[in-house]
Amino acid sequence: MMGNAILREIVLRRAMLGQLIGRNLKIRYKASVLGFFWTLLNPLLMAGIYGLFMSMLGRSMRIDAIFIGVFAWQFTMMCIGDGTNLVISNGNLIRKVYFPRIILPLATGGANIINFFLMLAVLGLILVLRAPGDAPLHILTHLPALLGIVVLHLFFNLGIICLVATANVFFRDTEHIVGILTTAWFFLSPVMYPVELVAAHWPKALPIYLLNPMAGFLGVYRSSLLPPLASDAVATPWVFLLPSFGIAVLVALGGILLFQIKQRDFADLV
Amino acid sequence: MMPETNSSSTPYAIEVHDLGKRYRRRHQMDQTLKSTLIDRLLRRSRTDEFWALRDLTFAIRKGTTCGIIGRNGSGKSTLLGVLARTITPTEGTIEVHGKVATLLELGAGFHPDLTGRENIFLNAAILGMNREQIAERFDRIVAFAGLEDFIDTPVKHYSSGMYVRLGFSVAVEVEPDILLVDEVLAVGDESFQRKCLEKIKEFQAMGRTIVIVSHALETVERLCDEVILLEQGAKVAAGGAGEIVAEYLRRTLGRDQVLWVEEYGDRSVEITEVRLYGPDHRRTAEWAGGKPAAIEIDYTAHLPIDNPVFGFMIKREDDRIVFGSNTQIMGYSVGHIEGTGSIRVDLRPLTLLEGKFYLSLAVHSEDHKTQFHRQESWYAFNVVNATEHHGQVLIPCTWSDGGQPSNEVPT
Repeated sequence: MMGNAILREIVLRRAMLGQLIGRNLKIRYKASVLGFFWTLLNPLLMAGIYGLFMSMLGRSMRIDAIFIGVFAWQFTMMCIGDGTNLVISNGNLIRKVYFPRIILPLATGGANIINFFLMLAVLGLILVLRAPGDAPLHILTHLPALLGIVVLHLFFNLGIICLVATANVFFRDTEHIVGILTTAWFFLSPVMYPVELVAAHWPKALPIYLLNPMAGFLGVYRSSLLPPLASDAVATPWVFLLPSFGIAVLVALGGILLFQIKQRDFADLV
Repeated sequence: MMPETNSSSTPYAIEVHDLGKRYRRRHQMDQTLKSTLIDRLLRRSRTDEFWALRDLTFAIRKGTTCGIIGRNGSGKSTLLGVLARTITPTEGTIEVHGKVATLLELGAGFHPDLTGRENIFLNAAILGMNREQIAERFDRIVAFAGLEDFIDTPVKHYSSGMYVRLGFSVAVEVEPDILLVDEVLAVGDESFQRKCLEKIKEFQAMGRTIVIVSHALETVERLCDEVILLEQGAKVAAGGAGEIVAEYLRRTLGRDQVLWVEEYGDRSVEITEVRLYGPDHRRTAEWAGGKPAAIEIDYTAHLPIDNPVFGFMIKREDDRIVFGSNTQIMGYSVGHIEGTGSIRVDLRPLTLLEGKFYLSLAVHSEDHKTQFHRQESWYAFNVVNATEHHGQVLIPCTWSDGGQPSNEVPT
């Protein structure tokens, strides 16, 4: 009932959503000469550093797997970065114009998914160039799984955007708290190391570890983008990832619901 | 709670019932999780509440222009925010029949790095237009703003005037049923203000409903059919524009002053209404200094009276008399009165140039022994200099060659 009315309003305001997505992308790419190239260079560099670091520790994972990890991680991090100040920085708009507030997080998610698709295209190209034999066919056959996980990942990110955007209206130190939490989250997610590392050291903690939505996303990204090698098993059987998908959906719904409940007070507080 | 319908069955565009908005005043600097946790731990509460609006009930008829006036902090802007649906009311209901657009968000959502063209599309979409509507109205928007040559320049290079012009041009193209205007007429240069006024009159001619919040009382008087006066979040008066503006001036100017404000007399003759006229015989509460003005008094004589004396007096805020006169001094005989009638005094011209003044009126017997009705400092009015002269009063003067007095009649 309530959801329907909101959806109808979003459809009515699709021009605004489109314009805001366009604005977000234009501003991001206009801000520097290198534009999109920067958003690409950063994860590539980080992946290189992580790979180097992990091989120093003797725990290396294929660099391709680290690429995937860093790219997917960055998708969520950029959403959090844009989301934290979302309501505050659009305060003037919120105080003065009526529109369904959910359009703001939707536009942030929208701009970031377009950016992520571009990055995935570049990533796909890299992977195909590195393994021209197996990669194209493997990726093609896993395209549905890939698309599915991108949709879930986007939905999850939307919830996170709603969550941090709302929190920051009420607590202006959200940014710092989020900074600490995301650092912890980074090390608790298999971005630069394989899940097998956890399985080997703390096998009992593995079921809890795998509740992390990021672990679930990365599992599917890697298994659908990388042809399996005999030497390293990067694929976690999907059935173990199902609970994390459930958590992702819960986080998304919780974040959106919180935003929808609290948005009526935004104009008073920004 | 706030249905926006297109129902045409009601004669009202906006209906407000028992509206209230409560704010929790929080200390801006302490709006952090850290301080909140500390407060919880120490069981401190630092929120104090206040009602920005309370028990507000009114309705605005379709096709009319309604002004909302009141001092700063009286709740005007909150009310407009509630009508614009950006502020959620704490209690009460609001019904808005028709599409609302607000002229209070000129350039809201403009991004400095985007060009004028990009910002038009963005801003128009934010205000609720779809792509086709924007494309269709784009040229008109640019032309109205007069920014053809700068349309592909980032708006950060615009002057503030250009910025506001572009914002206004987009906003008026939304074509709403109900237009909310917040002090827009106070921005921009004179020619732009004129454009704004013309646009608003155009809206009025098209039968749209307009709600104006403004401090510019003259504008409110000129444009509005009805005016609502707010004081501390409550409606204290509502009615015709001239009447309510005068009421507002009486309340605000007379407040905290040492002025003697009183009404007395035996009311054998009662002053029932007083109208101030400016040049062009327009009714006003703001006189044009140096221009013709007039006071018209309606009275009711409950007894037959011969030759009563009507008088008026103008005082400053500090209770000093500026001028006073009456029919007897001027040798005007009112004659025999009974029942209702009216009397008029013309000031040709009003030689006051600037300031806030109070008008006292009196009607008493020919021998001054019986006061029928006296209103001391009862009507407040402003005088705004409408000449190029400087100072507080107009002194008629002429210039000529030295050595011989001018024969010209001073004007």
